[in-house]
This record gives sequence, structure tokens and C-alpha cells, in this order.
Amino acid sequence: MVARAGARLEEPFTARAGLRTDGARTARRTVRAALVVLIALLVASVAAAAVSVRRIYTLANTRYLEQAAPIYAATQDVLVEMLNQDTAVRGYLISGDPSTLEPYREGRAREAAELAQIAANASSDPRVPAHLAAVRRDVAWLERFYAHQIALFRSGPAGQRQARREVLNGKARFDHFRLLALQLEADAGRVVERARSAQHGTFVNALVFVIAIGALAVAIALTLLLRVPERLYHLYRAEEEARRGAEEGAEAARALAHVGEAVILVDDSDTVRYWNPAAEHLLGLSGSAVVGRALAAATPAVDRALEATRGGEPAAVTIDDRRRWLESAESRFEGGRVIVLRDLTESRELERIRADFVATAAHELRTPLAAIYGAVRTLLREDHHLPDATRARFLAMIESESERLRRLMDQLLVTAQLDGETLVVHCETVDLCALCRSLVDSTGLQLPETFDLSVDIPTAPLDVTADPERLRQAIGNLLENAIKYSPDGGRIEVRVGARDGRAHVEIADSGIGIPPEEQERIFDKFYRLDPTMTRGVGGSGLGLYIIRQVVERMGGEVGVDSELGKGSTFTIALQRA
Amino acid sequence: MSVAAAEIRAVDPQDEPGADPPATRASRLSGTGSAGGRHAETARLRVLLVEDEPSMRLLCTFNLELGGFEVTSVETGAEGLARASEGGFDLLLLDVMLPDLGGFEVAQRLRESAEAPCTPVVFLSARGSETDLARGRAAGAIDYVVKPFDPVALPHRLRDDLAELARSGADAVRRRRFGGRSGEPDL
Repeated sequence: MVARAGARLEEPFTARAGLRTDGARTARRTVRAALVVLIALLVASVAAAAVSVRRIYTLANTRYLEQAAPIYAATQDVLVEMLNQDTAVRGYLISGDPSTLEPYREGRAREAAELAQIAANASSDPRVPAHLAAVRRDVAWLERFYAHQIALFRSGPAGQRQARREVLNGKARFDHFRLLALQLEADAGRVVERARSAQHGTFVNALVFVIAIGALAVAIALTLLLRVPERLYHLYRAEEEARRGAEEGAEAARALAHVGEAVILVDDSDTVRYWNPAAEHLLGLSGSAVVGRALAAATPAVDRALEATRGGEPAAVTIDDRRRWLESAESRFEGGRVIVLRDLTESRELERIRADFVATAAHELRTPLAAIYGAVRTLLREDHHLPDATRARFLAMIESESERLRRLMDQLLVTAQLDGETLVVHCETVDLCALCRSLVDSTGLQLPETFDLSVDIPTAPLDVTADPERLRQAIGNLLENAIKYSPDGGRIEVRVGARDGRAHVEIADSGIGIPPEEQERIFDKFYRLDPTMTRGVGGSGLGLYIIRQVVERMGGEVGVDSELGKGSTFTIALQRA
Repeated sequence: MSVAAAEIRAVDPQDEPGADPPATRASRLSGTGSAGGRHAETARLRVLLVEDEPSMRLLCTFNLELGGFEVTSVETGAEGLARASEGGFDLLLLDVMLPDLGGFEVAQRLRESAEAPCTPVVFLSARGSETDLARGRAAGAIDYVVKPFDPVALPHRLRDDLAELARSGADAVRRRRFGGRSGEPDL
């Protein structure tokens, strides 16, 4: 498990991160390229449409206005001019009025220009030049014919007669000319027709082109639509997974930073890759000083510890002149190994304290038991008659030692409950004054004559939050201690009052007192004040320990103020209800 | 000497230590065959009892005096050391757990002081683990009595110890009392 955690630390931060970046880059490139192509296609499509429209417009313009229309118009004009000339010449032949020749002369002047215009547009249809040439020939012939007629007419009456006879000759030719002119007109019509067909072709081409581009664009867009969200989803998933992986890695690192065991990750070349804070604490070397260095060079202590604990059994290893009990575990994985060192020094010390506690408890139980057993054996002696007073003395011994045994058992039980956090404290509102008065009353009755009991308890109730029974025991024990540790009697004061928002009970004696260095230790389990000075005062060493623990569980505090030889004052401070 | 012991002697005047004529240890030991206290008049053995528990002091003193011992009892290690240094005892009965100097330390110091004759030591303790016994043996004791014990049998046991000591030496007694003895399981 440790090996996996170690591998996890290594791997996600390098290879997986690289893969993730490459994937993202490829996706970005693909999407970007697709969008560029799409935009290009749209631009091409718009451009093609514009070009097509322009082309259609240009074709229409060119063919209609520049080619077909001039041919058509000029042909019509030539036809009209020729008709006018023909009419004018005939009119002249009939009337002999020279003024009737005016349209003939105007027509002659214009027809050349009209024909030139047709010639200019002759390239618009292959048939136009041939038809034009034929028209020109007919026009030239007709003009010569008209000139000849006029000349004949002017030559005199004979000429006038001949001219009138020859009029019909001109009619056939004129009909021929008219036919040709109509053909030219038809040519213009064909040009228009061809322009229309070219327009249609351009339109169709443009349509096909735009549709093709549009289809391509739609295909690309569809591809993007189908692929990009999927791709994004996968990228997001990959990202999410990578993030989770990184978080797990970070959490694993955080967990390793907080475990009590020293965790050391070493690669195949024996270089330290990870060194957690517990390792720093245990081996006295900071991670920054060790990571990247060879393990054996950084500290030989780890190898020594591994060697000493190879059998799986804890062993004592001296690190920085400190003797430490260690247990080790080593997990190998591909690329390195994880070394875990567990510092058992404290737990062994706790175990020793527990064993001491049991030994001390057993000793404390044995002492009254030995007295009881001894007294019983003595009372049962048959070889010696015991006087009644002596018998009574041994019976009293049995009674008092039994009581001592019972109290000791109770105290051990409470201590065990305190240690196991199973002691139940029922807090309720208690009148501290009433409780102390009743205690003082019962103590006062048993107090030897050498004592002087002074009481300062207010008459008004003083409500506190406490377990009444346990509080009564605690204060009662303090009163007993005051008597016990005042072997020569003296003054015992019980004071109840409130200050700083808390209620206080003070039990002061004028007994042997407690040296300053002992004043905190007297609250330790099984600690007994140096009994040389207590003149043989017995006790389990659990009384004050229990008083303090129990009062603290009620939210209160126990303190002592004492001067050696002058007496002690124990104070219980409690929360007011 | 404790008040309690004095009281008991007052009840049983035959055991008054003053009645014991001066004698050598050997002559006193010669009377060990007799178990009864009254027959030990001629062989009163002087015991220094160092014990802080009043009940235990009373029990030991009472039964030892009935068993023919002359008992001097003190409450602390320091007192015990002082009285033992003065000499004149056939046996030291030391409680191990004493308020000031532990019994082991008292024995150790007595052994180290050159002028004091080497009085045999027997420990008396509620602590009876292998370690405690080993420490007792190392402190030079010939016997180690673990509480609770039968105080009525105590005078016989101490007499046996002293007799064997005189006969075969301290090592023989130790072998019998400590050798192969497991005491109680180590905690």
C-alpha cells in the first residue's frame, strides 16, 4: 500500500501531465484548422456568388447594350433609311419635285454610319459579317440604282420614261435587301439568345459552385459539431481525471505529511526522493537537506535502524545520542522502495507506565491484604491465648484495613474509568453552600480535639454546575487530607465564596505543607508526598489525582497554595449555574 | 520501639527483652529447635524491624516476640540505618518500600559501611516480582518474604534462615530461598 502511494507521488506529475498537454494541443490545432477552412469556404462562396452576379451583369450589359442592341437598332435604321430613300426616289420620279429627294439625301448620309455601327459589332455573331457584306452590297447596288434613276429623270423626258420603266428592277433588289436586313435583325436576336443562354450557364455554374462550397462547409461544420463536443468532453474528462489524480497525489502527500511514522521514499539509485515531516522529526534532518542525496550519505541511522529491526521485532537504535525504540517496514516497488520507521519509544514508555501502575496498584492492594491476613492468622493462633484487648486491636485492624482496601478498590476503579474516559459525571445545579455545610457538619463530629474548625460559608445559596455526589467526595477527601497532613492538629478553615464569575471552595490547614517543587506532582497518579515528613501518613496516591480529574470533568479546576511547615490551601473552582 | 509493640509486651511480660541475658549469637541459636516463644527465653534473637505500615509493624512485632525474638522496630529507612549501624542485632527485617530510603538502599549502605558488622538481612515486601527478588538478592539479603505472608510462621522461618546461615553459610540460605524460586510473575 505504501509502495503504491509512493509510486502515485511520482507518476502523475510527469508522464500524465505531458500526455494531457499533447492531447490538448492536437485538439486545438484540429479545431483551429477546421475553422480556418470553414471561414475560407464561406469567403470563397461569397466571392463566387459576387463574381457570378457580376459576370451575369456584364454578359447582359455587353450582349444587350453593346452588341445586339446596336446591330438591331442600326439594321432597323438602315432599313428605314433605305425605305425612305426608296420612297423619296419614287416620289421624285412621280412628282419631279426635287424637294421630295430630301429624305433620300438624308438617308444616304446616315446609312454609312449605321452600317459602320453594325460592322463594329460584327464580331458578336459569326453570321453578322456575311450578312452585313450582303447588305452592303445590296445598299451599294440600290444607291447606285437610285442615283441612276435620278440622273435618268433629270436627263429629260426620255430618261424620265426609262426611269419609270426601270423602277420595278429596284423593287426586287430592295426586297432582297429587306430580307438581308431581317436576317441581320435575326442575328441580333441570336446574340441576345446566346447572352441569355450564357447567363443561364453562368447562373447554373455559380449555383453549382456555391452549393458545392456550401455542402463542403456544412460537412466541415457537421464534422466539427460531431467531433468537437465529443473531443471536448473527452478532454474535460481527461482533465478531470488528471485533476483528481493530482488531488489524490496531493492528498497522499498531505496524509504522509501528517502520519506519525517516518516515511522515506528512495529510488533505485538509493537517492532520497521523499522524506516526510515525521522522518525529519525522528532523524533530525530536514527534507530539503536530504532529498536528492544518497540515503547512506545523508544519514547512516536509517540503514542502522533497518538492520536492527530486520527480523520485524522492535529494536533500540541510538539516533543523535537519543535511544529510540523503532519498528521498520520496507516495501519495494518498480523504481525504488518505501521505508517506514515507526517510533515506539513513547508507546513503550506508556506501556512501562501502565505496567508500573499495575505493579503499584497490586502493591497497594497487597499491603492492606497482608495486614488483614496477618491479623486473621494471629487471631487464629492456638498456641497462645490472646487477651481480649489484643484481640479487639487485631479485629479493629482487620476492620480498618478492609475499609482501606475497599477505598483503594473504589479509587482504582475510578482511575480506570478516568483512564478509559468512561467515568460518568452527572452535572446538575448544586447549592455549594448547602453541600459544604453538611460536609463540615459530619466532619466536625469526627474531628479530634486538637483541631479547630473554622467555617466561612454564606447563608444564601451559591448554585454551581457539578455532579453532587462526586463533588461531595472531592471536598470530603480534601477535608480528610487536611486532617491527615496536620499531625499536630491545628486550624482547619473551610471557605465558600464567588469571585471572577466562578464559585470557590477553599480548604486550608496549618499542617506540614508541601514543598514548591512537589505542588504540581501531588496531582499525579500514585504520587505521594515524601512520607518522611508525613510521619507515616498512608494513602494510595490516587486521591488528589481523582479529585482534580473529576472536578475538571465538571468544568472546574483544582489548585493548591502551600508553604512548607505552614500549611496548605486547596481550592476547587466551579462554574456557576 | 513502637507504642503498639510496647503495649503488646505489657500484656505479655515474659517476652520483655530486658529478661534476655547477654549471650553470643551461637548460644542463642542453639535454642532454635524449640518453636514456642516461652522456650526461647535462653535464645532470644535480636531483630531490627524497619517497616512504615503500623499494622504490619504491630503484626510482626507481636508474632516475632511470641516466637522468642527481641524486636526493635523503626518506621523509616534512615532510622533503620542509624540503629543498624549501632550494631547488636542478629537480623535485619527490612521493608522494601519505605518512605525515605528504600530497604534495598538501607541494605546496600550497611554493606558498604566498613565498621558495621555484616548483619544478615531479610526483606519484607508487597513487591514480589522476579526483578524485585533479584534486586533483593543482589542487595545481599539471605531471604525475601513476600506480602501477604503468615506472621505466625515468620519466627520459624527467620530462625531456620539463621540456623542454616550458621551451619552452611549465606549462599546456602540464598540458594534455598531464592534459587529456582519464581516469586510471582513479572508484570
